[in-house]
Amino acid sequence: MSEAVIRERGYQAYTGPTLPSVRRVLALHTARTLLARKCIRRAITLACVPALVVGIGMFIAKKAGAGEDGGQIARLLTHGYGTLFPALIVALIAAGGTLAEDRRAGALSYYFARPIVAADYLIGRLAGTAFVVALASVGPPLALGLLQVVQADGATLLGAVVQLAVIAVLGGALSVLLAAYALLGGALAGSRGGAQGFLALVVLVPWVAAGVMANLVDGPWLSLLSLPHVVEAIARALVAKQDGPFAILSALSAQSEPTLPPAWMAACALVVLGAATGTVLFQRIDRLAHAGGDA
Amino acid sequence: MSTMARLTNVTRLYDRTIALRGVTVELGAGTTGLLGPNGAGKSTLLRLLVGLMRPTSGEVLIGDRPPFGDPSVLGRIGYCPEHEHAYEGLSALRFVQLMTELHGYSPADAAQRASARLDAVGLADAMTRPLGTYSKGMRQRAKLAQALAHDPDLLVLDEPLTGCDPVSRARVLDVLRGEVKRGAAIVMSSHVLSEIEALTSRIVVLHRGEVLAEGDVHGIRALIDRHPHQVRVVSNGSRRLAERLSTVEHVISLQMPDTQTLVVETRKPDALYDAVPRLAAELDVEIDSLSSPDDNMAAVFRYLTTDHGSTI
Repeated sequence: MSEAVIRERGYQAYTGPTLPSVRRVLALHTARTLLARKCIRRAITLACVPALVVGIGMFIAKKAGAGEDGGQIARLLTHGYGTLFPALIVALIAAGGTLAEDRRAGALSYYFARPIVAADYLIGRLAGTAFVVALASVGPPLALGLLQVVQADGATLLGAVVQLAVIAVLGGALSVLLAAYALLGGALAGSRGGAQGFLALVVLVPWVAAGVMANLVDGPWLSLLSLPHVVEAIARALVAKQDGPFAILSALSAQSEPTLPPAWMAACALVVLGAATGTVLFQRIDRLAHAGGDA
Repeated sequence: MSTMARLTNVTRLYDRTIALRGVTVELGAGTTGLLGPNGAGKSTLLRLLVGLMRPTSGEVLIGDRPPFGDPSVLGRIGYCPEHEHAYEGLSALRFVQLMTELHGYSPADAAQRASARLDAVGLADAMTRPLGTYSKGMRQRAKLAQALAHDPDLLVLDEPLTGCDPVSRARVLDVLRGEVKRGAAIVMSSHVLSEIEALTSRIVVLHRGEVLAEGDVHGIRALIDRHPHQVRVVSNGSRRLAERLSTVEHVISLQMPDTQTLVVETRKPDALYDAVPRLAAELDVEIDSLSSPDDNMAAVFRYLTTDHGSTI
């Protein structure tokens, strides 16, 4: 019998340079493909309607000599009648049209046989999808907030700038998370319907359940799983009218509504949701990338 | 032969299924045909070459580096997968352009390259149409164009001519010959043996995850000594030839499918090729043709992948 030898050569993760344009190419392709869809363009147009209504209302209020808007523009992000619904529509369509579509079309084998690693694919796809979601979610409130800053006088300028920053940051986070949920749906389900079902499940169910259960359970704990509630809790704390330099601290720990968690808790929940979604998504895409391309 | 890719003792498992078992093979410049029945492990071997998966054990090298997760290696490879799915709404031009941009080309350069390659594979008139409207053969050619557009050093093609009509097949084969002239190495799997034969005589035969044979098809054929070769003689004196050949030691059997054709089975084809013209001259028989239907890839493939070939 010949002498047996086991040679364990092993593999190490590649750490060399990657092509910088790959992520940009993928992001642009994603955004372009999504924006080519009529239904997405219509959803973005629909998102402009509530912003327009709020804008007209604010204009009338200003003419009538009313004070600050009390965070109305920021509320557009998370309100059911605001831009959240159109943004959800965009995310639902994106859920069926990005990773799920790549899997259906067998495109993963084209991508991962090229100089692309899982992180490139994830970042490119996520950036493109988040941009299009943000056009519906953040675009109209941001435009309105910008208009408010331009028209603000000395007394109201700080509040308008803070609100604009809150819209940009929280709206951006909301868009990225919605896009990440959309991709995760595709990564887990692999079919358009499955991906869209997943997104509906993780966004709509906690959103509705948080409102319904708030009166039945002690405390707004369920709303910590609801992305709109989490974002709204933070937004309300940050754009609420402040009376003194330490008022922000009391605002962060206060519950502004029975259905909303304290803002600090909401901020933690947002970080945890983002980190968990990002981790699972990356692991899943990494696995798909190394499964031979036909997963 | 300079080595472009090398697999050393590669085993790949899918759960409890062994797709490749201890495969060691070197792939050099020019074209190498990968042959084997369904489930032989051809696609798995090709996916290992393009870094879509890593081996369970063993080593895959392109040049001197493993392709898995290494963009500097993957940038040198062009891959045409077996499946025929595609982005239904995307035009072939946009699809090939996108894939080329991912290699670092600017949009304008990528579009120019995509257009040239689609033209080369015969899709000039249809390149702006959505892939969803393409026939199977057209999709195959679009897939091939995306593999070629960045001028790779190594082309890995999994059943690239499936569904192509004879005209486009000839065109694609010309394109592939052009790639070899340019200096690219091609590894191409196919179950249509004539496709491989049209490009190369260098083959690797896979069966049940193992390499049964590799090298020049004629050389492999010559190694199969125990397998009788068939020689077909068409003449105006087949019966007389058959009488004389029946006494020759290495002739195993004689058949006459018609009055002019004689099919001889022998263990020594070279000796038979010497003997037949000599006997024909002695018997004053005019030979119209002398050929070996066995000395082609189909016969080698058939022989190697049946049970009696597994001992080679």
